[in-house]
This record gives sequence, C-alpha cells and structure tokens, in this order.
Amino acid sequence: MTGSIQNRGKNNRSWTMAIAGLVLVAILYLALHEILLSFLPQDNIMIPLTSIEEKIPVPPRPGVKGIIITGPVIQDLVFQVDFKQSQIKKLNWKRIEKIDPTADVKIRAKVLPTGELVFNPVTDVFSPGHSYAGSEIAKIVQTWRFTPYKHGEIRFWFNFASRGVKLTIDVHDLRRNADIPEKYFVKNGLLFYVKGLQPARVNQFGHVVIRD
Amino acid sequence: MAFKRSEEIRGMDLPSLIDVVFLLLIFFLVTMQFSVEASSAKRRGAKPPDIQLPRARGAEDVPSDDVLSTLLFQIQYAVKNDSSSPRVVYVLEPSGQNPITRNEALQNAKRDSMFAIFPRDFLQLKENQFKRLPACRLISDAIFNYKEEHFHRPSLDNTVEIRAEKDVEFKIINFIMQECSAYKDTIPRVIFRTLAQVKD
Amino acid sequence: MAIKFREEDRRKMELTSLIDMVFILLVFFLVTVTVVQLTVKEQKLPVPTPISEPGRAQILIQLLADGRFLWIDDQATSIVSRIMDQVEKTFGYLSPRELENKKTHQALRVLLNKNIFPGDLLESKLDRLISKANKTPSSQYFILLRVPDSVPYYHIIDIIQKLSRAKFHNISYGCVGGSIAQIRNSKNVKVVIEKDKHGRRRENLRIDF
Repeated sequence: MTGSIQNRGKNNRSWTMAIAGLVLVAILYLALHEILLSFLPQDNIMIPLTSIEEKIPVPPRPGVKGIIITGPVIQDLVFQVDFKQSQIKKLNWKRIEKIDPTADVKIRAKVLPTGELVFNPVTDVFSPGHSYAGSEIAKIVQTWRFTPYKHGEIRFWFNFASRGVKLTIDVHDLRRNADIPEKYFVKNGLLFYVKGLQPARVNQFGHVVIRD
Repeated sequence: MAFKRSEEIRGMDLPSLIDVVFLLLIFFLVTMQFSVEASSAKRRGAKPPDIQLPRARGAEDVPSDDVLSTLLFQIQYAVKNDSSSPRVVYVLEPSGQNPITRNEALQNAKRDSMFAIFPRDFLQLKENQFKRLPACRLISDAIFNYKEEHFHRPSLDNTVEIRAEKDVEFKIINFIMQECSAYKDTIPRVIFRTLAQVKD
Repeated sequence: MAIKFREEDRRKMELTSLIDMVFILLVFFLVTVTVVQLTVKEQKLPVPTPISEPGRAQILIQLLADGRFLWIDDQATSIVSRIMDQVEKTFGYLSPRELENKKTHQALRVLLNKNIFPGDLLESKLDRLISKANKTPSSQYFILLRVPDSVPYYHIIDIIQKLSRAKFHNISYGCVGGSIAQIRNSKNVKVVIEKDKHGRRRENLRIDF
C-alpha cells in the first residue's frame, strides 16, 4: 500500500518536474528569439513605441489671409413659466380631479411682451357645466407669468376625463419678442405649473401639444 | 509520511514556479523596452526626454554629438557669443549611409561651403529683396533638394529642423517656414530648437 | 513530532513564497510604470505651415516689436458684437458697404485698444490659460502666434515651451510671421455664427487681414 502511494508520489513529482521543465524551455526559447531579433538591423523591424505619434493628426494649419477665433456658445433661450416670480401658484391636478373628474376647461389668454398672462376669468374661460372647476383653474392660471421672450395668444385646454392627452397648450400664435437678438433660438419650455400631473401624461415631450 | 513529503514538495513548487516566470518576464520586458528605446532614440537623433530648452538667462549646452535625423538649419552669430555680429546659416544634412552627428555635419557644411551670411541690414529689406539674398537662396535650394530626395509623399515624418541662437530674429525662421509651406502638405512640421553655445 | 516540524516548516515556506510573490508583483508594476514614462515622446515643437485660407484658433497672440502683445480670445466676440450693434444704431443711414467698413473700423479700434497688454503680463496670461486647459481636458485649444520679423528667437521658444507644458497636451499652437499693422488694416471683421464640432452654435469672430 505504502509502495503504491510512494509510486504515486513519485509520479506526481515527475509530472510537476516535467511541467516546470517545459515552462523553462518555453521561456528560454522566447529569450533566444528576442536576442536573435535584436541582432537584426534596427530600422524597420522593430517599430518603436513612439511611432504611435504618427496617428495623431497634424494640428490645424494657421492661415495667413485671415483667422476665425472661436467665440462663446450661444445658449438657447427658453420660454417658460418664470418660477422666479413669487406669486405663481401650482395647479393641483388631483384636487381638481376629485372635485370634478369630468372637468373640461378651455382658457384663451394673451401673453404680453412683459411675460404677463392676461385674460378675463369670466369671458375667456369656457367650462360648460363645470363652472366650479373652471373658476378654480382660472384663479390659479391667472397667477402664471412667463419669461419675456414671446408674446401672443395662448390657449390652455384642461380635459380631465380624456384618455391620453389631458392638457393641451396651443402656442402657434406666439411670436418672439422684438428685442431678442436674431442669433438666439427661443425654445418652448415648461408652460404649465401643474402639481400631480406627470409630463408623460400630457404628451411625449412633456410640455406642449402644438396644434396646427 | 512519504505522502506528506510529496504534498510538501508540490506545495513548494508552485510559488517558486510563479516567481521564476515573473522574474524572467520582467527581465525580458525591461531588456526589450530599453533596447528599443535606445535604438529608436539614437536613430531619430532625439534628446533625452527631460532636457530643458535653454531660457533667456541661463544657458545649457545642446549636445553636439547627437545624430542628425533630418535637414537642419543652424543659425548662429558670425562671431561666437556676439549677438551683434551678422547671422550665419549653415545647412546640415544627414549623409546617406551612416548616421553622422551634428558636429560632423557642421564640419561638412563648412567644407562644402553650405553656409551663408546675412547682411547686417536684412531686417529692413523688403520681401522680394530679402528672398534674393544668397543666404535665402541657399535655404530655398537646400529645402528643395532635400525634399526631392527624401520627402516623396506627405507624411508627419517629413520635418525640417531649425536650431538658432537665442537672439536670432524671427524673419529668418519665418522664411524657412514659408519655404516649407510652399510644398503644401509635404512638409507639415518644422522642429524648433535653440542653440546655447556652439562647441566647435 | 517529525510531522509537526514539517507542517510548521511548510507554513513558514508558504508565507515566504507569498511575500516573494508580493514583492515580485510590486517590482513588476514599478517597472511597467517607469517604462511607460520613458516612452513618452520627447518634446517636439510642431509648427504647422500656413495655408491661404482663414485659419481657426481659440486664441490669437500677436507680438509687437516693442515687447507688448495683442491677445484676442473668446471674450473679444461679445465686445465686437456690442460695438457693431452700436454702429448699426448710430450710423444706420449709411449704405451697406459703408456700414460694413465703419463696423470693421470701429471694431478693430476697440480691439486694439482693449486687448494690447504690456509684455510682462504675457507669462501670467499664459499660466491662466494653461490652468484653464488643465481643468477641462476634453477641450482642445489652438493658439496662433503671429510674430513680427524683429522679435528674437528665444521669446518664441519661451512661449511655445510654456504652452507645451499643458498636462493633458490639449494645447496646440501655430506660429506665423505677421505684424500688427496687418491686423490694424484688416479688410473685414465679422461676427459669424457657426456650429462647432459638438453641434453647438457659437459666435465666432472672423478677421480677414
């Protein structure tokens, strides 16, 4: 029994020696290869690591006829509810829904060049059969102020019962203010201030549904 | 007992093997890196990476025994260390087969008259008068000939080197750059180096 | 007893081997790091050769013969566009071409008044530029250095050497001959709106010498 274990021990030992030997031979072979390689003429065989620099493109050539100096980025202006103003109130969607789940309120208002929103809460609010919801919404919408980049007519349509688009804001009558320099784009930003209404439920962009 | 001994031996072998492998790996890596770096550095005539270019005040000698790798215009004062003396331009070229050092190339240039002196009033000269100076003609011809021989297609490798003393006026250097740019993309870069003291 | 001795022996041996391995790994990484540093290429000073189209740069430095320098960067655009708006308002009655000339003239006058600095400020301005470049490794800067004929070589080398010390090598530079008189007599100065490589719109300043 001991003999066979000894034999096995010896076998394992010789296995290990064999593997070690093989590794050593491999390393020695690689070493020899490198040494032989280094005796060859240096020029094109060994590509130096510094040749990586060749892939770097030549820097831009300066002109002698003129120059264009890069200037600052033009940030787009965003026309949106001006949250810096203190009197702006949030419209609480859930509360109105609880009051009147089928409320259907249309408001036709004007944005003045100063950013103020003006409309007559009696004649410019259309909410047939939902007068309570209508007046609630109108009271809150009257507090809204916009950044003074656009002016014109703006229409809000709050349709609580609708599936899909529940808030539509018609902005196609808005024009950019005259005092904004040409170079700026004015984007439409957040045009409503509604609590509890996820932007996804308004439309895919979360802000405006533009009607043509 | 015999069983334990063989386990013991096997346990010892593995870390030793790994040690040996790593040692040899490192050894050959280092040897290869150093030999590649040294050989390519010698070939390019490059300076060791940490050399400081001489500033206005202190001076540091640029070794004159480094190998010339490309066409080199050396602009120095006609009288050593006298920045009020006229400027002289030497055209140094690497010779065909064997690499030569900058010093050797300078001797060759002196022997073959590949140099020219700028007149004292060269700054006041107008553009076309300046171009017709023998020194400028020498420069243009040298660039043209060198390009014909060595720069066959546009490449980042095609460079011309300028080494000048610190007070040499930019007009000469600008001229060399303009001549290079005349060949469009063939010579995209010019190497600037300074010359502190010329040891010859 | 013999067994215990061997076990202890083996444990000591294992520990030594492990320590050996750790040291070897340490040496391995030290060597690799050193080797990487060595292969960083030596400081070549690339000087692009000029072509005859308006070049692009982030900063223009024009050296003057008397040691001063003109520095134009992205802040110049807003100054120039303001001047041009003023000219537009005041001289709106002029014909378009005369108006252009007037705008160019005024813009250059203001630029050359406000942006010429004494020579000793150059170093600090370059330092500030380099620290800005080091803070934003992803932005590329190209500095155009215009040098008149009489400026000595070491002055240019100093500037170029300083610029090439940017940590992330994101400053590239070009050097051409040219005098401030050429800029003063520029034919045309315009503010153009162009998209940069990220697609953002920028107000760029175009000067045609």
